[in-house]
Amino acid sequence: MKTKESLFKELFEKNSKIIYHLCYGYTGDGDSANDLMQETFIKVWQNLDRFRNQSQISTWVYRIAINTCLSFLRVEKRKATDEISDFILENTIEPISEKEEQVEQLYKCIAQLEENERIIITLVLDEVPYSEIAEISGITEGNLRVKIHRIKNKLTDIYNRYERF
Amino acid sequence: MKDFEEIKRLWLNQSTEPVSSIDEIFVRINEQKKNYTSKLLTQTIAVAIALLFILTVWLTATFITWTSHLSMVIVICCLIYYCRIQVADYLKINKTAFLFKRPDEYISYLKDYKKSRFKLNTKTYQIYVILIGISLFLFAIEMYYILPFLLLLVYIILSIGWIVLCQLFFMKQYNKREGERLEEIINYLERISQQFL
Repeated sequence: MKTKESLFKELFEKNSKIIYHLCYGYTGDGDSANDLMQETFIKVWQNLDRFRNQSQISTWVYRIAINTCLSFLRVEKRKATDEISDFILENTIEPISEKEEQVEQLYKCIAQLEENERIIITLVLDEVPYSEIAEISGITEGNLRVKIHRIKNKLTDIYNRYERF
Repeated sequence: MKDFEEIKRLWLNQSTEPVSSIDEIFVRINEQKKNYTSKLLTQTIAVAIALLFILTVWLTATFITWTSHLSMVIVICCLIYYCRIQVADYLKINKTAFLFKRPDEYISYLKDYKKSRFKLNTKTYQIYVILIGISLFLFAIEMYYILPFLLLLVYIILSIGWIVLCQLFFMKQYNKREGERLEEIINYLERISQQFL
């Protein structure tokens, strides 16, 4: 039988990177992403004894992360949607390599998508299985596949448009 | 020109890593716990001091009318009620089953929660103003018998002034500020809830 602490550590090690990517893709800013990731894991810790094994524990953690992101933008509304792109463009973090610059660019492009699209695409990019994404976002797998197809095209278009400039 | 698979490769090879370690999270968990405890403690101490003060006044002063006793009881009830809702609120924070719901259900929960908090706060505030008004009026009856006319007049003017200030200034300001915030939040939540249908 695992203790609460060892289970939590295992969850953190397995999921922190994906949760961070999700939060970064959602907010478009590293500091906020870090805060949101911390907040997510604090909620995970506080509610770990409530997990009932009805779903995979990772699904449960992603749900908490998504709902935390939704609440965050609720509070930090001014940074959301349209203004978020300006915020990122004004961000003065110097990219170190060409690859990092491209990744930075990719986050900028993701930030231009709708909120639910940002969530879905970051999970797709991190290779979370479609069945799990469907369960996390509460839509059918069929509906999800259609959405993913559309989001992939949209993201590729935005990215290539940016790359031309 | 890149296709989606190239974008995915770029994503999978990124070096973007979370800055926080698990130790930092445990530090934040402990800090939050300390904050809750100290907030709860401060609230409880503040209410306890106020209660003690009122009880001392009630027990040591010799009131000549029953209305003053009723006035004291009303103020004490207000204080206990305030303390109770504050404590309940702290205990509720972050312990909600809605955190695990689907995003659309969570958004609808947030909408209802925000609306009900707004209603509760405005209603509680209104009840506070009414009860304080009644309490000050009941106490004025005692003052009528013991204070000289001029002092009684000052008491009445100050009481009315406080009620008017609460009702017409603080209450309006709160309603305006919170109402605007609520509308912004609801608009945002309605917009994103459409995306999760």
